[in-house]
Amino acid sequence: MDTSLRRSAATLATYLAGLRVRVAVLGTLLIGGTLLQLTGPQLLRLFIDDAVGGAPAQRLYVFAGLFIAATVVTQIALVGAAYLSEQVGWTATNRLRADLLAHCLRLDLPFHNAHSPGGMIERVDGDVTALSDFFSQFVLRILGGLLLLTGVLALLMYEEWRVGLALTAFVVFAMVVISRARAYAVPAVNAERDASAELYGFIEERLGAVDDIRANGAGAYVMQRSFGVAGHLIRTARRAQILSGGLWSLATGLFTFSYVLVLALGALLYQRGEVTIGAVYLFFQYTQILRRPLEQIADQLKEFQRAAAAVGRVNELLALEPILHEGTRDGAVDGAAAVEFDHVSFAYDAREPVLRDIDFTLAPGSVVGVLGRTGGGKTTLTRLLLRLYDPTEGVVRLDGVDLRALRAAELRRRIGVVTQDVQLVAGSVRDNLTLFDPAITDARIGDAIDGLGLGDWVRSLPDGLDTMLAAGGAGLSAGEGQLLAFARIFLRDPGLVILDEASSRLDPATEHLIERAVDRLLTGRTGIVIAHRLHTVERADVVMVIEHGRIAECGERTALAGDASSRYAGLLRAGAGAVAV
Amino acid sequence: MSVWRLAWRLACYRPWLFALSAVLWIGVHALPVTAGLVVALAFDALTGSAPLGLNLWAILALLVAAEAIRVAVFFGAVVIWLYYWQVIAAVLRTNMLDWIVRGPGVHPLPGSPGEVVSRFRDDTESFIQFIDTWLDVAGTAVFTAIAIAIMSTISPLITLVVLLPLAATVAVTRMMTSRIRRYRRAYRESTAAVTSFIGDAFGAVLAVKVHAAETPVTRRFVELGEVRRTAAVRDRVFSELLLSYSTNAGNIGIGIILLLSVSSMRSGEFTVGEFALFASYLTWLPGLPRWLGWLMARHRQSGVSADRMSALMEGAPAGAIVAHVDLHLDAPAPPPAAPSLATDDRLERLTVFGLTARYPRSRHGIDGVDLAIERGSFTVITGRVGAGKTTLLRALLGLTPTAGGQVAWNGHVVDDPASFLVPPRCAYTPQAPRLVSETLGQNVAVGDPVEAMHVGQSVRLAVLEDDVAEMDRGLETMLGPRGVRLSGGQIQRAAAARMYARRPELLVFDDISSALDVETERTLWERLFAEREATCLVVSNRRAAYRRADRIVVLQSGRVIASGTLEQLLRDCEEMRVLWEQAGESDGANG
Repeated sequence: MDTSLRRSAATLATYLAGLRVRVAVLGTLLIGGTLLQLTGPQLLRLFIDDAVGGAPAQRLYVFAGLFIAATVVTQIALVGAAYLSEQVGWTATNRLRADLLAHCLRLDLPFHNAHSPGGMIERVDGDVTALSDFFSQFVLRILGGLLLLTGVLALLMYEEWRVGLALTAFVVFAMVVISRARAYAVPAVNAERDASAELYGFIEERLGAVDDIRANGAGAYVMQRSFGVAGHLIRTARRAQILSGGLWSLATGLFTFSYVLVLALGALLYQRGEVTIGAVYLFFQYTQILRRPLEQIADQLKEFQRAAAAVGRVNELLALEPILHEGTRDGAVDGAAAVEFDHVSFAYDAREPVLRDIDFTLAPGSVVGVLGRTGGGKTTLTRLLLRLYDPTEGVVRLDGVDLRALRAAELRRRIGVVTQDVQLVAGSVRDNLTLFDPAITDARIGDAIDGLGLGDWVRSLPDGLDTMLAAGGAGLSAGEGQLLAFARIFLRDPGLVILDEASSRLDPATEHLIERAVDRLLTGRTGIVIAHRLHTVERADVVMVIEHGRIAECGERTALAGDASSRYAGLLRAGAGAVAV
Repeated sequence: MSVWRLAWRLACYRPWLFALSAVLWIGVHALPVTAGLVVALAFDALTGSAPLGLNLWAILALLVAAEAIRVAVFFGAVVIWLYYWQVIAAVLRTNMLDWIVRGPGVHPLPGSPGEVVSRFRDDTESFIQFIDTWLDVAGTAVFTAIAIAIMSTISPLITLVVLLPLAATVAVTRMMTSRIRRYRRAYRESTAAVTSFIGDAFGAVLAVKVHAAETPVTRRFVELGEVRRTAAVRDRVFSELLLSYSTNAGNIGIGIILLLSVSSMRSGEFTVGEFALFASYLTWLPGLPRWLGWLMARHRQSGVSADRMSALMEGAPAGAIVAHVDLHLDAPAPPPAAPSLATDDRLERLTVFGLTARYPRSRHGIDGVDLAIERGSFTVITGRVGAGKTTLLRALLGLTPTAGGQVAWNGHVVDDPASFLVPPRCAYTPQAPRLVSETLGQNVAVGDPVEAMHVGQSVRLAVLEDDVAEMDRGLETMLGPRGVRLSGGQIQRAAAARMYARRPELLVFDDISSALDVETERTLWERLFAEREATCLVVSNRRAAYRRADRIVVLQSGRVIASGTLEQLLRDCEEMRVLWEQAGESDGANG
C-alpha cells in the first residue's frame, strides 16, 4: 500500500527470516480456517432453498450437522493460528528489541546524554511492543481478514457476477478512501506517543529524584509541572482519538452501505427470478461475514497507525550510526600500555575548548598523577582515552596506535577506569561485578575481591555474591559502590588503569584498606591517577597540573617536589590539599 | 475498599461525562437490534410473508437510517469515552505522584524508577479497562434483553435452546478467571523485569561502555525477553481461546436453530426473515457472556493493578488512589505558595532519641542513636564506610523507615519527620543529588516564586557562580537529557544552592565534599558562615569539617561510640584518631 506499510513489512520480514516453518504452518492454518468459514453460508443457502422447496428432512439435518462441524473446526484452526502468530510475533520482535538495545548501547555518549533511561524504555520496548501487538493482530485480523475478503469476493463473483462485481468495486473504493484518510491520522498519533513518552520520562526522572524532592519541599512544584505535562498528553490524545474515531466510523459507514447495496441487488435479481431466496441470503450472509474482517481491519488501523509510527521511530533509531567510527585493529598487546597525547585539543559541541594542545607521553608501567581544579578538563582526558569522544584536534595513541584505528571492544579491554559516579544496576553483586558476563567465573571474582581485601565484606553480605542490589545501588553506601567499581576493573586485567578521583567517595578508613590493592593494581601497569588530593598522587612517577585546559606543569614528581619554584612544590607547601592554583 | 468501589469512585470523577459515555456505548451495543428487525422485514417482504405491507425500498431506506445512527453514536462514544479515559488515567497518576513526592509518612519506592513507571503506565491502563468493561456489559445487557424479548415472541422454544450454549460461556469463563489472573500477573512481572532492565542498562551506560559489556548485557536482556515471551504467549492465547469459545457459541446456536427449524421451515411457520433475524441476533448475543467473562477477568486484573498502585501510596487512606483531585485542565496550575515559617518553628534545638533503622536485605543500619543539635551549631557525623552515617540522616529526615526512636523539634516530638523536616524548617543535600531536566535556575528555585528572584544569591553561596558564568545561557541553561550534563561537583553545589534557596532553619549535608576539591569546600563553608546564621548537620570525613565542628559524633557499626569536640575525641576516642589520621592522608601532605 503505502511507504509506512512497506517499511513495517520490510522490518518484520528481516526478523521473520529464521522462522519460515512456523510462518508456513501459520499460513496453512489461516487459509484452512478461512476456507471453512466460507462454507458456512453455502450450507445455509442449501438449507434455506431445500427447506422452502420442501426437500427431505434427512437432507436438511445433514446440512445442519455439517454447519456445526464446520464451525467447530474453524475455531480450532483459528486458535492454533493465534498461538503461532503470538509465538512468531514475540520471537521476531524480541530479536528486534535485542538488536535495538545492542545498537543503542553502542551509540555515542552525546546520544545518551540526550535520551533519559525512561525515554529509552519507551523507544526500545514501548515502540517494539506496539509492533509485536500489531504483528500478532496483523496476522490474525488483517491478513486473516483480507483472506476472507478475497474468498468472499471470489465466491460471490462465481455465484452471481453482477453482485460480485458491485461488491468488489465497492471494497476497492472503501480501501482507497480508508488508506487516504489514514494518512491524516498518523501525525496526530505520533504526537500522542511523543507526549506519552514525555510524560513517562518526566515521571521516571522525578521518581529517581524523590529524596531530593521530598527533603527540599519541592513536591508542590513537581505537581504543578506534572499538570502541564499530563494536560498536554490529554490534549494531543484527544486529537488523535477524534481522527482515529472518525476513521473507524468511516469504515463502518462504508461497510453498512455495501451490505445494503448487496441486499438491494439480490432483491432485484430475486424479483426477476434470476436467483433463489437462499442465494439472496447467501449474498447477505457473505456481506455479514465481511463485517468482522472489515471492522477488525478498521479497528486495527488504529493499531496500525501506532505500529507504523513505532516502526518509523525504530528505523530512525537503527539508522543512527555512532559518529565515532570503530577501527579494525587489534593492535594492542598485553602488558603495560603506552599512552601518547599528541597536541590534543577538545571542545564539547561547538563550545569553548575544554582541553587545549595537550601533549605528553606516558611510558609503559609509569604512573602519572593529574592535578587541577574541578571542571579543569581532567575528566575529559579520560573520556578521550576511552574514545567516548574524539579529539577536535590532534591524536591520542595507545601503544603507538591511533585510537581511531582500534576496535572499540579491544580499546576498552585494555583500559580499566573507575569514575566518580559509580553506576550500579538492579541485580546481584555478581551481576554488578561482571556486568552479566557469564564467562567470568566465581573463582576469578573471588581472586579479585580477595586482592582488594573485599573478601570479608562480600562474605558478610546476606547472600554473598548473590545478594541482590536495588537499582542505583540502594542499600550500599557510596563507598561500598566505589569498592565494587574497583573490583570490576580488577577482574579485567587492563594494561592501563585510570582512577578518576576514585578515592573521593571513599571513607578514609576504606581508602586505607584498598591502598595496597591499588598499588598491586598499578604494579606492571600504566596508571593515570586523577585526584583533588595530593596524597592520592604520591604513588605517581610523573605529576601533571592542568589549568584551564592546558598543561601548566609536567615532570618527575620527585624532581618537582624538590624544585621550590614548581607549582607542585607550591601545592605541597600550601598543604591541606589546596590543589587549586 | 473493594475494586468495584474504587473503580466506581474513579468513574464518578466527572459524572456527566461518564454518564454520557455510558449512554453512547449502550447505544452502540443496542442499536443492532433495529438493523436485525429491518433485515428480517426485508426478507419477509421478498418472500411475500411480510406482516406489514411495507415497500422493499422503504425498508432498505430504514436500514440505511438505522445504520447511519449507529455509526454516529459510535463516533461520539469513541471520542468522549477515550477522552474521559485519559482524564481518569491522569487522576490515578496524579494521586500516586502526589503521594510519592509530598505525602506524609515514610514510603520508599517498592522498585526501581523504571519498574515503578510501569505502574503509572500499565496498571492505570488495566484498572481503567475494568471500567471500560462496565460500559460494554451494560450495552450488551440492554441488547440481550431486547433481543430475547423479540425472539421469544417468534419462537420461545428455539430462543430457550439457543441461549443454553451462551449461558455455558459464562460458566466456562468463570472457571478460567483464576488462570487468567495468574497468566496476566506473570506477563506483567516479566514485562516489568524487561523494562527496568532497559532503564538500568541505559542509566549505567557509561559503565557498560567502559567495561565493553554491551554483549553480555544484551545477552541478559535476551534471557529476560524469553521469559516474557513465554508468559505473553500463554496470556494472549488463553484470552483468544475464551474469545473464540464465545464466538463459537453463537455459531453453534445457529446450527441448533437449523436442527430445530427443519420441520417448521418446511411448513412455512418459521419464515426466512425470522431465520435471518435469529441468525443476525445470534452474531451479537455472545457479546454479553463474553463481556461478562471479561468483566470477571478484568475485575481480577484490576485488583492486581489496584494493589500495585496502592503499594506506591503506603499509609494513604483507603481510596486515596481515586481521590477526586483537580487536574487543572482548563487553566494552568498556579505556582506553589512559598513556605512560610511559623514562630514555633524557629529551631532552638533538635533532639533524636534511640533512632533505629535497618535497610532491608542489608546488614547496614543504625541502632539506638541519640543526638542533640543546638541552634547555630555545626554538628559533624563521621565514621567508616557502612557505619550508618547516611542511614542516620535518612532515618532522621523520614526518608527511610525506622524501627524505633523519636525526633523532637524544640522539645516537641515530631510525628511525621518526612512532612515536618522540610523547608522552611529543614532541607537536605544527599550524597549523590539528583537534578531534573529543567533549567539550572528552575532546579535551584524549585518553583518558589520568591526565591526565583534570589537564585543568584544561593548560587554564589554554593560557590557555583563561576560555573554558571561559563555556561552559555547561565541560569537558563537546560540540564539533563536534552541539555547540559553537569560534573559531579557541579551537581553537588547546585544541590546545595537548591537547599539554601529554601532558607531552611536546619541545613543537612551528606558528604558535600565527596566531589569537591578542598579549596572549593573551604570556600563553601566560609561563605555559608559569613553570610547567614546557619545550623548544620553534616556527614563528613574531612579535616575542614572536623575543625569547624562544635560537636563530632562518631558512628561505628550503626552505633554512636563517642561524641564531643575534636579535641576531646582526639584525646579519648581511638576510632576518631584513626579517622583523623586518614583524613590527613587524603587531605594533603601536612593537613
